[in-house]
Amino acid sequence: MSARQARPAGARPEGGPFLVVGEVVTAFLQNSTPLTTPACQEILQTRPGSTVLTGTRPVQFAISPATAVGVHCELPTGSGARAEGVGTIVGQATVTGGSLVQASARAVLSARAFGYRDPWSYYLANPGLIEVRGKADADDLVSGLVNGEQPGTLDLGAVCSRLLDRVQRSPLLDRRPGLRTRRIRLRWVARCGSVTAAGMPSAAGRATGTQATFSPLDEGAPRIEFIVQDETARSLVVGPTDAQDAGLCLLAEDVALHDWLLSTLLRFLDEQRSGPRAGIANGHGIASLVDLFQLWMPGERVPPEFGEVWAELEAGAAFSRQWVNLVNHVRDKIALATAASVPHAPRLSAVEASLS
Amino acid sequence: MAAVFREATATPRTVEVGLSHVSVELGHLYADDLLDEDADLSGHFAAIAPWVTPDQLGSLARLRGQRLRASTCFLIDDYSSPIRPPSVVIPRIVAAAAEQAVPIDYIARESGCATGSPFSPAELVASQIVPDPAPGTNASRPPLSQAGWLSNGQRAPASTLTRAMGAATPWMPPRENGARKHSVFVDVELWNESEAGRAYSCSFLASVWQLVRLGLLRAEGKPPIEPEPVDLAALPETWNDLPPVIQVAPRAKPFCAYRTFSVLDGRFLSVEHAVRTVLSQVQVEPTALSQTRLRGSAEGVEVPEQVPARTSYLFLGP
Repeated sequence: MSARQARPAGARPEGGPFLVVGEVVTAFLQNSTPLTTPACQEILQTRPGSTVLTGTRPVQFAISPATAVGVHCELPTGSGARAEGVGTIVGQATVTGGSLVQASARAVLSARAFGYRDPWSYYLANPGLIEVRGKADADDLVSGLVNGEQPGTLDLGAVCSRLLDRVQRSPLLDRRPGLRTRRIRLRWVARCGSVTAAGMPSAAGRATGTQATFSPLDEGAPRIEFIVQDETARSLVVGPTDAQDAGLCLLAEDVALHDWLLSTLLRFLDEQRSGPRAGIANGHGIASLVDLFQLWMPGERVPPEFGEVWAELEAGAAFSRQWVNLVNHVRDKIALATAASVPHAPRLSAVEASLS
Repeated sequence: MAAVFREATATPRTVEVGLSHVSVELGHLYADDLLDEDADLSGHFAAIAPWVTPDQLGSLARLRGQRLRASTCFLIDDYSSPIRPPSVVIPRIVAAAAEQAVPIDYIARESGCATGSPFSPAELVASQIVPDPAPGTNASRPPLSQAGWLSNGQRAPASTLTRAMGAATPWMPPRENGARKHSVFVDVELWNESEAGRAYSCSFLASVWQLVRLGLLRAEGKPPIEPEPVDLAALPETWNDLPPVIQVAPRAKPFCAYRTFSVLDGRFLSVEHAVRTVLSQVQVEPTALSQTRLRGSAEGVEVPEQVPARTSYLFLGP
């Protein structure tokens, strides 16, 4: 966000950013095989002449150009107190490993002191900024944004859905995904503020070039909170931080991607248990599932300053330990099935049957 | 010191363009005016000349002692109807301007704003429109747009006759978004479609023209239009064979500028109101927008953040 210009007359007090909010929807690309980088570029080309950024390390990825969507509406609050926002949401789609697609929407909420709206060109010069006016405080907005389905209020999810649908409808996709999966939505909120010497958050921003910091809201509280709400909904609440919105969005996307991988693997194994006893190795989608194994790289695509909070989240949720266990389990099953398929090894096939 | 790893394809690139302090448009003429052999072109430039002196331009560009870099330009309407060939029209205009001591540095053809290869500047701009949301817009649906039209507020609901009573539903006024108390509602036709294809409106092409002059358009990170030097003695016979923008004066300052200044006949006021309505709803590439501000501040020149604020006008009466 660039600094606001001096007003020719009637200078007004600055409110400043107080929350960064976003939503990420993660889904399996509707294609039978992972896409190549040029194909990813093509499906993410949302505007003529725009640039799709691509990379291969630490994992193959492609990022669509950012799009802005204008809003002028009420914001969801926990208490029902009113808060009105005017500005833009920034949306972006990413394909990872040629097979996972994520649509992301985010905005920085900033307090607005006066009642009138700026010219629309001001909001377009500051994409991703929503100016908020009203009685609701930050806590009230956090609870509304994370929990609430309040019709008529700010709808980040709809921006994600449209972006995702657009990618999934690309004529380049064969619509025969190799794996049955779900779309999983992650809503995230981060409070703005930096940590002072006394360890308390301050409203002042961070000097450029210094490390972003994170702090708990209350003493003893976690700095980051990840909640599995139901089968397809997650929430992530980050304590006061002076990290930039783009970095926070990368963190949320990275958490969402790994949560999706783990959830998808769990669901696959669950279906195997309840389905006919064909064995994992011959189960539907095993090839696509194995393709996903290489995408597990928690924290590698977020700015280094997020390493510590990722590690905290990992420690609490045991993401990687569970993932490694389950992947090893699948590999063991495949190894057993392979051994069993070799002629003159009748005893191993007996072992396989007893284990599955 | 941490090691550095970077992939070039993963890093955005936005090519910078040369920038003057101000780009001065020396009036505009409709195609009809260009067909009229008796049109007083000298009079046209004579009326403009007193308003574009270096002092006036320096003040308009908010210079504080810097040496002024200004370039002049003229846009020829070859789009709305056929006109005489470049070899006839251009020398006449260049001579008339030179005669009044307001030499033209660059000449553009309006069709160059509409079509282009590989990118049509008009299509680029159309794809970057983010409509000003009316109150109640929460992003749950795609922006309400009437294909080819862009307004600065909420349109008046259509009043329909109710069959039973024969009475019309009461008229509801349109409303300008962000109006303080009263509205000035404007609805701009950007283009219309026919069997012959899409025809862009003068207002929309004039918006594209402003963005080209401000150096804010990019396609794949590069400007879609760049001026090309042309020999005035060897001008082509058809407008399509002419580059979109030609450099007429060999030693001209850069074509693009931090700010634009257009000195126009008063009859163009409504078109330019439409232009500002469009410009306030185009999201230009953020890097291009911030690069120009950074370049300005590096030489101590204030460049407004918002695009419409970078345009200035003088409307002249007859």
